Amino acid sequence: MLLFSFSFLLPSHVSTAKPSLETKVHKLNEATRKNQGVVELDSNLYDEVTSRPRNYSIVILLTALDPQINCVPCKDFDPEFRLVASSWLSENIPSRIYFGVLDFKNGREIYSKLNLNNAPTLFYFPPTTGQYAKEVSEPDRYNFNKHGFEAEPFASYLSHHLGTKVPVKRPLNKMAIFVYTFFILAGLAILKLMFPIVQSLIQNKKIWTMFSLITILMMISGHMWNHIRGPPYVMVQGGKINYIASGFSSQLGMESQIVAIMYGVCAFSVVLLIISIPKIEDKTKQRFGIYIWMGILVAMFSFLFALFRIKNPGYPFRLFA
Amino acid sequence: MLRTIDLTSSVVREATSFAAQNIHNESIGEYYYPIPTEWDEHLSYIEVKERKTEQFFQVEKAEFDSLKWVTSQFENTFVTQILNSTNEIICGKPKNFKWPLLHTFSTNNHYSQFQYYKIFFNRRLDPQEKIKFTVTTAFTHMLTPYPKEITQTERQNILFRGNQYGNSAYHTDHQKTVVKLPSVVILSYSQPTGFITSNRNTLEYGMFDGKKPNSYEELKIHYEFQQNILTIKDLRRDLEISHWGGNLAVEEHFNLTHDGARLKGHFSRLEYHKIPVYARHNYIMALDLSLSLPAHASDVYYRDEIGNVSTSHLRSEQDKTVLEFKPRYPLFGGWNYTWYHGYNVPIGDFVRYHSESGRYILNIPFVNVFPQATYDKVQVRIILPEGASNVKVETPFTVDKETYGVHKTYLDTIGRYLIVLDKFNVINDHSKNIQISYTYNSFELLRKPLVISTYLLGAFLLSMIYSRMEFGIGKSEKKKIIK
Amino acid sequence: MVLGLDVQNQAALLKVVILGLISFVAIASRLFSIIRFESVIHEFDPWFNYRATRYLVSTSFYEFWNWFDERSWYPLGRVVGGTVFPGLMVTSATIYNILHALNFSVDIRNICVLLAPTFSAFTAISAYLLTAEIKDSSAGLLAAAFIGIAPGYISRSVAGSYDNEGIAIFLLMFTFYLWIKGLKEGSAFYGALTALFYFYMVAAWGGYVFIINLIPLHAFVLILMGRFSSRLYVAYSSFYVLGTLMSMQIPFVGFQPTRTSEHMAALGIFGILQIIAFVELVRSHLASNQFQILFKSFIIFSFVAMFSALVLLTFGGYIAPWTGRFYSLWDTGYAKKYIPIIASVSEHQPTAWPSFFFDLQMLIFLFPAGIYLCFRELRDEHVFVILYGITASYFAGVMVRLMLTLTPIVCVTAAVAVSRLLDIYLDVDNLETERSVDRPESDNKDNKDKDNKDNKGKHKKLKEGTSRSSLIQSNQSKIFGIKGFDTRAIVLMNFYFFLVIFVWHCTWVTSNAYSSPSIVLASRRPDGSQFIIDDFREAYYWLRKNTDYNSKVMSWWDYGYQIAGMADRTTLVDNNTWNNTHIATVGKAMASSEEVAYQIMRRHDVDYVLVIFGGLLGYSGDDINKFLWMIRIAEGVYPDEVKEGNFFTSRGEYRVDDEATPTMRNSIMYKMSYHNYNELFGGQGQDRVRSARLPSEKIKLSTLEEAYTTENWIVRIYKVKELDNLGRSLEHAAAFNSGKKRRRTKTSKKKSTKNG
Repeated sequence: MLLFSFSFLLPSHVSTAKPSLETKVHKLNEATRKNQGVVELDSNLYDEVTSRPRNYSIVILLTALDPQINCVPCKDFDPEFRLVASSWLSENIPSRIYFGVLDFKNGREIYSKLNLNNAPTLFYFPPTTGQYAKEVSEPDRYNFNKHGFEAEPFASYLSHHLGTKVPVKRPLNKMAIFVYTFFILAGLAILKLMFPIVQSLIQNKKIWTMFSLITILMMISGHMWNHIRGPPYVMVQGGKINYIASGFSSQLGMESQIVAIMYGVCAFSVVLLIISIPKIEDKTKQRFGIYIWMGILVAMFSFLFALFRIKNPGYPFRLFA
Repeated sequence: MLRTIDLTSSVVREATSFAAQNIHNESIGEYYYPIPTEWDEHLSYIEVKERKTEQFFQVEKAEFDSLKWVTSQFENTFVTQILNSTNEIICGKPKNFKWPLLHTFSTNNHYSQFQYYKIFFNRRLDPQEKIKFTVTTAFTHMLTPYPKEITQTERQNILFRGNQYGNSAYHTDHQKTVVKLPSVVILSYSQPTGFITSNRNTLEYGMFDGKKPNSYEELKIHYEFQQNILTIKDLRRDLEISHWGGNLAVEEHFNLTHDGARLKGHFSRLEYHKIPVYARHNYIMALDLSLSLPAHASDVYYRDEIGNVSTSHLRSEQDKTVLEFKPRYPLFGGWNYTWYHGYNVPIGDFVRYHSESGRYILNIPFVNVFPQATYDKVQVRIILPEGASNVKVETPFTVDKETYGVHKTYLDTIGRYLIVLDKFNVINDHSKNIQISYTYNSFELLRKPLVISTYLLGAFLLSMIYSRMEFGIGKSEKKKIIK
Repeated sequence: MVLGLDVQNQAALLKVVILGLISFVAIASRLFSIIRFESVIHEFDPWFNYRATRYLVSTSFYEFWNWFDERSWYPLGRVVGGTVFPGLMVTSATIYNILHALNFSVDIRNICVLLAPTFSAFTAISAYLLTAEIKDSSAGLLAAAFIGIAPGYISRSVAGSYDNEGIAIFLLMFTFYLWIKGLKEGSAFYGALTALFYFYMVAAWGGYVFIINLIPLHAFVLILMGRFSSRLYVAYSSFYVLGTLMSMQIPFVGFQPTRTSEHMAALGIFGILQIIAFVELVRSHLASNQFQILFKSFIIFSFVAMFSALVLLTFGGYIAPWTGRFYSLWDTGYAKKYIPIIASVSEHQPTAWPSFFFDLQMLIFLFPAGIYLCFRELRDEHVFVILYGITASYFAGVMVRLMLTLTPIVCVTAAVAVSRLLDIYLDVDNLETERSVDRPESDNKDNKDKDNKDNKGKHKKLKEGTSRSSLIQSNQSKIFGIKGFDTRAIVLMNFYFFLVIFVWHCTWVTSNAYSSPSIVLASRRPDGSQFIIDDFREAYYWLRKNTDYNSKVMSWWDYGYQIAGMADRTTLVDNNTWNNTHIATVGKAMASSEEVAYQIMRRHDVDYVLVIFGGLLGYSGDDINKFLWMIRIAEGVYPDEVKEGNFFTSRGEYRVDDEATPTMRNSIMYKMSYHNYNELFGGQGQDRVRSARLPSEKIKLSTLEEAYTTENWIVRIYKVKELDNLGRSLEHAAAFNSGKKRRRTKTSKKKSTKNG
């Protein structure tokens, strides 16, 4: 993959009139100084700055911030990227490494040339000449799946390549801190004021029951799986919405909630049959209740079977043929 | 004297028929038969019988305490001679006849030493009396593959080295040697001019006249031998008789090596797949083996050190059951494989009750017939039922070691009588019955139920005690709480 | 009057008989694999346990205790005595010795194979005891029946799966039972027993951490609920002190109880209990006003003391942080990012809902109901059940394998719910016709012994009915019971039906999902007859018989234990993944080109390399599919030499066909898997797992040669060529590197021109 992506660049050098190293560096410095540490690129500029020889390293983020291309990770990563760029600018001399951004709307050619069909993509171009030049001169592709979209892993990745520490200086958001502290204080105050209520809440058995039952239901309906794997809530295929993921060991967000509710209903009906039905004095009422709740239980259980048969087609049992 | 060497199998069989005459002036009862020690250590069996009266003569290894003794022994006793192929004897001791002074003598010192076997005739021969008898011997490990290594699909050739003349400690007037070969493909063989005739797969050396004792002329034959040479380094048979279960349980532990030409390089599954299935048996690899079991063998299993091997099936014929099984992998030259299998047979098939002597008699073959295989060492362990007494063991041939012990297994109190028989250089000819007779008191059958009931009783007692104990502890606990 | 026994004895007799039946069922339902295949050790880890047990049986206990196994983790070796939970091996060795003392010449293998089923019977019994403490003996019987056949537990305890969990679950349940018992009676005796079985648990399974955190949690919650009592004090103190002391005798645990944060909770609770007890004592002796002063001062003092201690320990670094495995339970993203080796294990994956239903079926929704019932009558033991339920369900959600700890409590709570339901709907006080109802039911039930059980349970409840109803009345306002006979009938019928389905489900799951010893694969011929694919053992046995005893075999760690157990050869890495770097080295060797790999293999004097290849048969669990994990783990340690990215196509796909990246094709894993494979097809090989056609060019191996390939090509063994190669490659190393460069760029050029 690395080789392929780079290889497309090779012929491109011949096409563009080869600019001298100085002009390139000059341009880059200008742009860098202009908007804090980041060079906005377009197709030609891209070819230019990536063309050999380079006595600088450059990371180029190919992104798509266009609202109609709804690229969530691009949006997530963009500020982080700029953060790293700016904190580098504030710390070190810029001429060592440059941070380029190529948006899709300015660089369709490049996208097509590299036949990239997923953004964001990030390349690191090591220097080819100068003191920092290494023997590897192909660009390295940043693995988002592995490092994720935060600034810190990205910075450590860069420092790994440059050999020097790349800092990340998050400007601490005073407003936020203030708000938080305020809320905390307010919360404490409220706690103090209405302590009796809180106490009664804490000592209330029903609340605890509810709480623990809900936790259990969430857990046994595979909520942790969603939490870790982060599946889509529902899956839209050809216009129709899927609530149920196919496959035994996968599920959708909604699916697990459906299951939780079904479990809940079953459990609830059992509890009713045990607890409140015997308390009904009127005989017919009681009979009525029993029939209803038993019916609900059976129905839910059979639904469960049906659902499970979807997940595991080989499953032989069912409540109603 | 007429000698035939049979090379058609991996066991070298040599049958020498003598026509001998006592030219001594007094009667003698024994005859000495020499075997070079290189061969002797692979000697599987030797037997001698008179040709007329099909009677077996007793044979034993002869120990010599001194050369002096030897020469004195061999002093003018026999001379054997054959005038023509009709073995007619001419009497008289030839002129200028000298006895060897060293019994390690040979024409060119090819054989360093000889082991002499002493044959006792069933009668003493008067002077000038003639006798005709045949000495049959069988040897293992006498075939050496040449070339030593072949690839998966090459054919296997054997280089056989021997003596053109028969083994004789005496002056031999006339003799010839006939060699039977497995195939017509003979790459080369030693050809003494005038003394060799060959047709298809037999070579005939001789007629040689007036050969001195232990004379030697190299016999070299390089021929194709497209069979597996399987050696069972070690076989352990456990035979366990149970009158209680009314069955004889047999378990046999094999340790097998393919002694054919070694596989050159490595095994390639691709090559193997290229050979069509029906043709695979034509190559030097042990794909599937077969073993004949007794007719009523039941619940047969076939396992190895790491569990059951699923590639086996039984084929029952009228007089025997045949177990056909594949090793886990095709066995090439130089490869090893071990396994064990077992089965039960109804006790009636092998154990008879001899009423007047009141003894039970077990008759069972020493080994089962296993084609293409020879055994370096066989150990048969017979486990008699608990309480069996005054045991007698009879074997049709001499075993090398015979020991007795005690074996304890399920629910045993005094343990069972164990007989261990060891023998080296065993071949399929040894699958003859050994006979073990013992007395067994039928009240012994009650031993097991008694043991079981005692166990149960103990268990109940324990449980009773335990329940008591628990109670007691509970009490004390209660006290503690109250305090 | 049956057998001239009074009612109580009849009940006792019934209980014993029923428990006996349950144990029988529990054992019997775990024997599928033996009947279907053979009595053989399953899967991977059991093979080490089996090997260790054999060692223990053949040598003495002390030799086992300081056994240094130089035939694994070559060249490092492994201190087995110090890094193993000996409980399992010691258990089966003891059984073995006892039997042989009685002249029962049982093969040790059979003991190992049958250990787990046997203990499952014990588990059922201890579940009975526990539930009897929670509710009553009838619920106990139900619980025993449930856990006897619940797939969630069977999955780890079928015959042949000779693993720690097999006995650990029994110990878990029994320890908890003893704890509840001790807490109820406040007896130091039961506390000590708890400690004893806790010790056994520590010796048996790493999961003991669950106990040592759950019991303190229980104590803590009780304190918070203001339920501190001398009973709690006695039970907990005796348990903690003895338990900790004993657990420190296991070398693998050693001083962890005092040093690692997994155990700190227990210690803290112990301290708090002492303080509170002391306070109580003082209060009982002092007048209130003095007491106030003292109390305040004391509280302040203890606070300061604890705080300072905490600070001291933290920056003193005396308390080790959570170990990776446990930490990954809390920060669920942690493992994936930092410890791929933990994340790579399939049983450490999170649990999707189907597997809950698969393992527990109807119990899963009776579980919350039971919890709710526990909340209604909130005695101490119920608090315990609730806590257990919540924590266990969380853990089960995070890791599939921890479903095992969830199953028992689910069975207990479900049993509580069901038996309560049966109590009410079988209650005889309100309706005399009830008996006449129950008879016909019991008749048509006697065929299945499991139903047989709960049906008998009902009988018994008829007898205990009166006490039951009085109990219900005691803790609820006013109960009228069930009036209509039809309604009772319908509810009972339904639940009877549910139970029957549950039994079917369990049997089906057990026989289909959990009863295959993954070393033997079963498949069906066209004519439907079963035939066995035994390639693994074929290869292992070939290694065992036809290679030098001291030769070193390199393979991915999954197969380490099997090679050690079945092939009896030295391995580089195995399933005890204690040394990440070593594993990463092997991964690197597999993932890198022949030249690089050869250096590594030489350095570890590897003689044979073993790879699993399912392409011909469509066996999906092969090494090419595991390859990505090898790469990841290797990249974690050698980020410069191994790059996961290089194994993905530009479209980010993982391919083996023409699309495959050069790095992929050059990796020895790829080469070894597909060597000679095209030739088999005469042209392009067809990979049935990844359903791909291979690149047509022939795969050439220069430093490895094929030594053996099994019948279905599943296991392929390669011999590492001898040293003469090394000499040559060394002297050419430099030139060779540059040569590689050139080749790389050339290929890239070719590609570019082709596409451009």
